[in-house]
This record gives sequence, C-alpha cells and structure tokens, in this order.
Amino acid sequence: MKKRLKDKLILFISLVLISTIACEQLDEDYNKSSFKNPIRIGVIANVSIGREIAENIFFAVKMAADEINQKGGIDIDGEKRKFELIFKDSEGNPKTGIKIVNELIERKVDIIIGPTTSAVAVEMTQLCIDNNILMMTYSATIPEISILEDEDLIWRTCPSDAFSGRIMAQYSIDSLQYMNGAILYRNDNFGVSMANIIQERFESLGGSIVAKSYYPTNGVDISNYNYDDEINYLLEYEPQIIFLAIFEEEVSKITQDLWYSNFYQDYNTKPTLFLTEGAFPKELLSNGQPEVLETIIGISSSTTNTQNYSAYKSNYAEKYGFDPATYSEHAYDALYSIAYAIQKAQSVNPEDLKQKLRNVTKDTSPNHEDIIINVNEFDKAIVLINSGVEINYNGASGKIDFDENGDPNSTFVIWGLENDKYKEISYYNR
Amino acid sequence: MRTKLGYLFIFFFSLFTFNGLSQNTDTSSTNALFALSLEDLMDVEIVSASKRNQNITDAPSIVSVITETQIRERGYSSIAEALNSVAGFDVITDYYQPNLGIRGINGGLRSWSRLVKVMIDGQNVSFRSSSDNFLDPSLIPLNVVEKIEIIRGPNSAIYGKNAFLGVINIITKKGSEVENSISHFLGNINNNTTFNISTVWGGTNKNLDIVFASSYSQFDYSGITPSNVPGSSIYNSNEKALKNESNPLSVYLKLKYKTDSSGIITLDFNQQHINSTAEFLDWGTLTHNNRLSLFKGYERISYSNTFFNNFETNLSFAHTMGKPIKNEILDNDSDPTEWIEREVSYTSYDFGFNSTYAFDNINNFSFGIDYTTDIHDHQKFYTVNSTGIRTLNPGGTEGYENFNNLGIYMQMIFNAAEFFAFDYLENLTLTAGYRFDYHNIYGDVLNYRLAAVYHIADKLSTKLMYGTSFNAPSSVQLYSNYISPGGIVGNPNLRPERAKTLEWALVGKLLKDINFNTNVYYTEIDDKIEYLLPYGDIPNISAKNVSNIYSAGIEAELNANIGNNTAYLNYSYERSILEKNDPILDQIRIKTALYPSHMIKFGNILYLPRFYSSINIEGRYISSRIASDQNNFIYDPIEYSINRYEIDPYFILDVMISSTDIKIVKNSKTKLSLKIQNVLDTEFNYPGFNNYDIPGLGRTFYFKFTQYI
Repeated sequence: MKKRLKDKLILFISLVLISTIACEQLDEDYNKSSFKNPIRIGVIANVSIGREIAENIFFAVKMAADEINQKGGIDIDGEKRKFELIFKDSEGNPKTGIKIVNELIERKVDIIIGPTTSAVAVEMTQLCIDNNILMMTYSATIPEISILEDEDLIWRTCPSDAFSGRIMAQYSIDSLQYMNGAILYRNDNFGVSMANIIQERFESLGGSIVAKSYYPTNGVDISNYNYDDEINYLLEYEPQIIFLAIFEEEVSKITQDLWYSNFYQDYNTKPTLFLTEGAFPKELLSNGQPEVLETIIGISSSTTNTQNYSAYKSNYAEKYGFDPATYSEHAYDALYSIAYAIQKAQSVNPEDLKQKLRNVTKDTSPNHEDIIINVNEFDKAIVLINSGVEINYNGASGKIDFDENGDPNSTFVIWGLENDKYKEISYYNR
Repeated sequence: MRTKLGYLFIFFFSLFTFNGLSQNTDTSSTNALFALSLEDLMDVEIVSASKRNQNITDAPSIVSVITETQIRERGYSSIAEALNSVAGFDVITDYYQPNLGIRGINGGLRSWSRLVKVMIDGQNVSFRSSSDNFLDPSLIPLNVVEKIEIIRGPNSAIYGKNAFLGVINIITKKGSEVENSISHFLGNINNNTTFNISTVWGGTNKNLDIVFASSYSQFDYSGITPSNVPGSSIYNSNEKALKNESNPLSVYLKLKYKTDSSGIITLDFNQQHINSTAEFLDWGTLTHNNRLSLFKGYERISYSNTFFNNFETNLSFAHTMGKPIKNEILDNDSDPTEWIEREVSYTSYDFGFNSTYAFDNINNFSFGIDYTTDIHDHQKFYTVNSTGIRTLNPGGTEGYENFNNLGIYMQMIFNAAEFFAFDYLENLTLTAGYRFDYHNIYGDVLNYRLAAVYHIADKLSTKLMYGTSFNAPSSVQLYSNYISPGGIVGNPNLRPERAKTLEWALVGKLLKDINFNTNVYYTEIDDKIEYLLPYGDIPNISAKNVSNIYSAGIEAELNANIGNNTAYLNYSYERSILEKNDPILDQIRIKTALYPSHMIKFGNILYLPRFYSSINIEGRYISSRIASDQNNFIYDPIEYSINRYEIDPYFILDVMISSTDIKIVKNSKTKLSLKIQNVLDTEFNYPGFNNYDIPGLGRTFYFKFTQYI
C-alpha cells in the first residue's frame, strides 16, 4: 500500500513540476500598447518596394514616438497625450492609398505621415484636403506636390525632385565633364517627371541626352524583369553617363543585366551610372553586380556627416540592431516636427498647426534668436516652447526650414561606392 | 473514376479468392503468417536510447518503434510516410523532400527535417552541407529495414550535434533475416503514372553475412496548382505544375564477418540519389525547368568485440560525401536565357570509438570519443547566360573549409539501490550522461542528460527525464550566397540552437494485448535560427539566431491486438510559443507557425485468413496550423507577426488490401496489394513559403507486386 502511495506521489510531483514550469511560458502576448486620449498618427509606407525599406520608415517613426512617449508625451492644456501609431501599406498603388486613407480617417487619425511614392501621394492629397487631414510625406519627391492648392495641408520632409534632378545634371556637366547622357526610368509619375527634369537641365547646360528608355512598373515582377532591351537600346548610343530614375527593388537586377550586355562589355570606358534618390547603397553592396558598383554614383538629401544624423543613427542602431536606411531620417523628422508644432500650438487641429510647423523648424525671429534644437533635445525643446522661446528644429536629415510650399530646405550629397563602402563625394545646397 | 475503382476492387478480390481456393490451406497455418504482426512492441529491443540494448519500458527516453512488419503491412513507401504515423511527428512536403516537424516545431523555410538526427545503424546520413535529412525513398530501400527506432526528445548527450529534438535510427536486417525478393509498384497520382522497383537479397555463409538492397522510384506529382494566400490572387487555376517529378534511387550493402574469437567486422555502404523537378520550392515556382539532383552516401567499416565477457568495444571509421549531380539546373525566373547552377559539396571522415563496461545486467559505464572532419565546399550559386558565361553571384566564397568536431561522452546507468540504502529504490534505474563537443567554427558545446526509470510493475514503468541538446548551424546557413537578388544569404555569425527538455512518461501494458506509451514534455529552445525576411539594413532573406521557443505537450500511443485486428491510436497535443523581438511591437510571444496543435492518428489491420488477405486502414486528423511567416507577410505586410492566417484542418484516410503469401510462381511466394491514399479525396494544403501554400494530393492508387525468390 505504501509503495503504491509513493508511486502515485512520484507521478503527481512529476506532473505538477512540468505543468507549473510550462504554463508560465505558454501565454501569447502581442504587446500592443494602448493610451488614453492618444494623438493618432497614420504612418503609410510602400512595402512592395522592399520590406526592409518600408520597415525602416516605420521603425524611425516608432523610435520618435517611443522617445516622446517615454518622456510623458505632449502636454496639451495640462493633459499628457501620447502618440499612437497606425501603420499601413499602400502597396505602391494609388487605389490602395485612397483605401487606407479612408481607413485611417475612420480610425480618427489626427495626422498622416507618408506615403512613400509620388504616385500614391498625388492621389491621396485631395482626400486629405477634403477631410482636413494634415499629411506629411518623407519620400514623395515629385515636384507637383509643391504647387498643389492644398490649403497648407500637404507637407514633406524630403526635397522635391526639381532640386535633386537639376543638381544631378549640373554635377554631371560641371564636375564630371560629361556632355552626352542617357536616361533609364520607370514608367510612372516619379520616373517620367524625374527624366524630364534631368533632361531639361542637362540640355540647358549644353549637354545632350542621346537616348531615353523606360520600363513598365505595372503587371511585371520588377525585381526579376529582363532589362536587356532597354539597356542595349541606351548603350547603342554610347552615353558617357546613364541617369537612372529607378527604385531600390530593381537596381540590382539592372546592374546584373548591364554586366551581361555585350554592348557594355565592348565599352573600353564603362559609362557612369547616376542614381536618383533612394535606399540604394546597401542593396547594391549586397545584391548588385560587383564589377559595376564602382561606376555608380547617386544623390541623396540625407547628409550623414552631421552630428544630428550620427546621433540619430546611433539611437536607431542601439534600438533595432542595424543602421537606418535612406528616408527613415526624414520620417523621424516628420514626427518630431509635428510634435513640436503640436506642443507650440497646444492643439492637434491642422488649422492651428500649419504656421507652427514653420515656426518650429526655421529661424523666424527677427533677431535670429531662435534656439536650435538638435536630435536628443526633446526635453530642452519642450521647456523652451512652454517658456515662449522660439525654437528651430534641425533634424536627423539636416536643416528642415519648411518653405511656403511645405517643402524643406535640404542639403544634397553626391555619393559613390568605393571598395565596397559608401562614400560621400560632394555637397550641394538646394 | 469510380467505375475504374470498382473494377479494380473486383479484380483484386477475385484474384485473392481464386488463389485461396486453389491452395487449400488451413486457417491455422495462415494465422502463422501473421505471427509477426502480433509481436509485442514492449518486447522489442532498441539500442538508440543509450547505445545499449533495452526494451521500451527500460529505455531512458520516449521511444517508439516501427517494425519491418508494420512497414510492410501498412504499405509504407518511405521512411517519411512511416514516421507520419507516429505521435508528435508532423510531415509536410513541397514535393522535393518531406519536412518533418516534431513536438510543435518545424524547421520552416528550406529546412528538410533538420530538427532531428537521422542515422542508419548509428551512422549519420544527413546532407551535411545543410544538415537536411532526406526522408523520401532515396534514404534507404525499405525492404532492408528491420525497424525504425524513434526517440523524441534531446539526445546530444550521446549523439552530439543535431540530435536536437529527436533521433531516428534505422536498424537494418541481417542477411540471414532477409527474404530475397523483387518488388514493383505501379501507381496513379493525379492521372500521372508512378512506379517503383526494389530488390533485396541476403544470405549467410559460415561467418559471413551479406545483405544488399536497391530501390528506384518515379513519382509524378504534376497537374496541381499553388493555393493562394487568402486575399491574394497570384496564381489562377490554369497555372499548374507541368513537371513535378521525383526519381529517388537508393542502394544499400552490408557485409558482416563474425567469429567468436575475434569479434565482428562490418562493412556497410549506402548511396542516395535525389533527382527532382521540383515546382513548389520557395524560388522558381512553376518555372518548369528546375532539376535538383543530389548524390550522397557513405562507406563505413566497424569493429565490435566483447572482452572479458563484460567489456564491449566498438570502433568505426566512415567516409561520407555529398554533392549535386551535373544535370542540376536551378531556374528561378521566366527568363529562358539565364539559369542558375550551384556548387556545394562535402567530404567527411568520421572516426568513432566507444566502450561499455557492464557490471551486471543493469549497471554499466560507457565512454566514447569521436572525431569528424567535414571538408566543405560552401554553397554558392552562379548565374549562367545563354552564351555559357558563368558568373558567381555576389557574396559567394570559393575554396574549401574544414569543419572539425571532437566529441567525448560518458554515460552511467545504475540501479539506485546500489548507492542508496532504501529498499524501494530497487526498481529505480538512473541514467546520467554527459558529452563535450569542440567545433572549430562555433566552439564548445556541453550537453547532459539525466533520467530516472521506475518500474511500477512488470512491463509498466514511469520515467522522468531531463536533457539538453543542440543544433549546429550548417555550412549553408553560415556561408551561402543567394540564388537571385533578395534571396537567402548565409550569416557567418550564427550560433548553435540550444534546447533543454523535461519529460515524464508512463509506459507499459494495460491489458495482455494492449500497451500504451504516454508522455508529457516541456522544451525550451534558445537561439532558434529563423530565416528572416529582409529587414533593417539587410535586403536579403537571412538566417539569424532570433527567437526562443517554449513548447509543452502530451503524446499518447495505444497499440492493441484484438481478435484478428492489430490497431494503433495516437493523439498528440502541443502548445508552442515563440518569443521574439518584433521591431514594431517589441517583444512578443506568439504561437509557433507551421505545426498543428492536435493530431489524431490511427490504423487497423484486419486479417482475413479465409480470404488470404488483410485490410489495413489508416487515418490521421491534422488540426489547423498557422501559415509561414513568409506567407503571412503577403497576408498582412504590416502586422504579419501577429495577424496570421491558418491553414485548414484535414482528415486523410488510407486503405490497403493485401494478399497473404500466394503462389503464382512455382516454389516461391508472391504478395499483392492495392493501396488507396486519401480515399476520401480530401482537399488540403501544406504550408508554403513563397506567396502560396502547397496543395496536398487527392486520391492516389498504388498496386504492388512482390515476388519472393
């Protein structure tokens, strides 16, 4: 009898032991935050151009929101309000863009940060204007956004292609001394617009665009598309430089197809490839055709040699374990600009925010007494704003300085790849 | 189709009936033909749990056994199919290779059964470049298998790396046990012809025992269409696999020379060929031009002897190698002017020594040392264009690298009463094992195992076990370059995955003809390696030690012989939580993907001596499971970590009618069988990894003919 009891006891103890340890560890937890009376921000990115690109945007805005929320949020009339982010994917499709803006309106967002691409941004703007939603894009660079009749509701922290395209053309002629070029571009709003800007400026400076070629973006797998025809067409005209108005998802395949082109192999001096703005360097170093990399240069509105960018990059790397990609700093600055404007306006109403956005990002005082606020200086900024002192937020992407169109006054950098490393070559002001 | 099926049944039964009448055999002798089916699984000796012969109730592990009788009578055509009948195992496929999941965890993208260690008579048979185990018919001709010993739980304390969540040890027959035969099956899969031919031959002459077996099959799984992720419409119903074939070839040879004075010398040899036009891989789906061809094999010489009646010694040396065959073509896109070729290979030398000093029948001490050198040519992909220019894709490294591993282990099995003065400990046997591995790439790993087996009664015992294990990063995971931009790349910073498991089991007989094997377990895995979608500053899919897994479950097996029936019933339930850091949500805890929470598996063989036949029915209910991360990203690109879809549950029923040994050829016997898989024609899906899930097969037919010589 005693033996049976011991047997049962062993069984019972074993079961209890295993069950106790197991149960504690086997609950699901989605870790979704909820705040009382939050400031709702819709964040839109285009995952189809590359998941890691879109996530970099999300991560940057989230980092900004976390930094602010951890310090209590924004004080509006004595109430501490935190940022709640709602992330959405536009799929790079204008129709989807409209759909998700409607979803965000239904969820009562106060402000929208995004979208990524110009084609989606152009379609979204009217809906935002109609619904009195302030929209701030971080990478839609099409010039048309600057001249919209937008009731001051459409903003961006990235500069217009009108500036970057002109600088590309100017740099090619002034610094590289190339007089004949070609253009390969996406057949979408961004690509067509950018190609026209480059051509106009290049030719106005005495150069000649000897050939232009485009490829479809709808209904094709852009990262596996065969670019042979488009590339060979351009190469037949022996351009010294090829401007590429493209996105990250196709850049590596283009370098591969270029390398396999017999025309390209026949060139004694390979043509320089000049990339428009985008998150290219990491993608090229990982997936681009290695033999082509040293012929590539590009333009970016993110200067990485500033203290603010270094601070941002350091914070980002510490939080996420990897370095940020291009445009994420523009997204980060979008939230901070909005945060300071809300703090100053003591409101999330777009009508109240419009002028405050300019106030907090540029030197507006007659005697140039605005205090510059850098990255990591949120506490200082709040104290100053609450004390009635004018601030001038200089962000991770550099000087913001919103103009009358809601465009930033950015600095550009020409970059290249040397020994498998990113290198900044030259700087231009807008 | 139904009419054809009916005719086939009538033909088959007529054959049995006619043959039965002509033989005029009495029922009692026919019963003897099934004697092997009625063997008591509790009495089957297994060797894999501690490298010592033990029966299931004594073994310090959770053990299941599939015998050669069960393989034959249930009509299994591969090791994977046999394992799919076991509690706690879930086999999915992409029609290139089966992928075995175990206890709530599946290796996921490009993992083909790499969570377990698979061995033939103790020899590791994984494709070492990737640590994948190919469980299709290429692994070994099934007619040479004596039994499959299946251990769930960690066993790195004995077997070192990759004995992570389980061990599958395939024990081969002796030549003297083999019935020489030639088998052929002809089948219909989705209106495509499939066939197999296999042979086994064995014999013994004085001190020499020889067994040879071979198997070649062709499976044609063409005509099926990828199942879209809910909400997407990437594939339409006209987009079908046009060339989804697999042609596995396997050859096995074993020579054993035994003398009383000088011990046993064994030479064994195994070659596996995989040749598959896979259409459902995560790359190159439906390009119709893929051909994956691999060769792997080993040759081993081993020596064993017992000195002084109680000092057993084993010594072995093996040479193994694996590489693609020249006709391999990887076509990842629709561009016919370019394709991909790969280079990957390994040549390995395994040296092993172990000895056991047995104090008596129970108490013993074992010591072992092994040294392995894997000479890897790391996986790299080349793009080839129509003019034959072959360019190494970015990230590839050329040249060879040695992976060297030294392992030392000790194990002690002893009766607790030998050390402690308590009478009731007489029925308690303790096992303590310890193993140290040193690897030149990823460093030191220490594993141990403790087990207590308490005999409650004869053929009834309870076990409490705790052990650790590890899964080493493979050469492919560490160093591969990509097939195409954005594809999978290696990560040289990977660390081994580590697991620790606590298990309790109750094993034994309920009644004379009913036995059971039930256990509960709890496993924690640290540093689980996952293939992550492009993230951060990495634009490619890459492997990373990224998560922890907590898994608990219960597994219950029941085997019974009732009248003319031999039946089994298995149930397993698991709950596994994956803990990872999601950059947007921070640390989250979610259910693991790809594995069903509930599985019920059953089978019954009904012997019909009067009709010289048996009918085998097997079924399995697989509950819903969460789709792969890669597909959930299509489903919800933002919250794919937590907003996930589930693949529907399904129930599959297989039926097989077999003859007893009938006489068609003079002085030799013949067996016939007809197997219908998925007789209910259930529509179901396996998890996929590239925008779609993989459709399961509908009703399929196999007619098998075995002629004994």
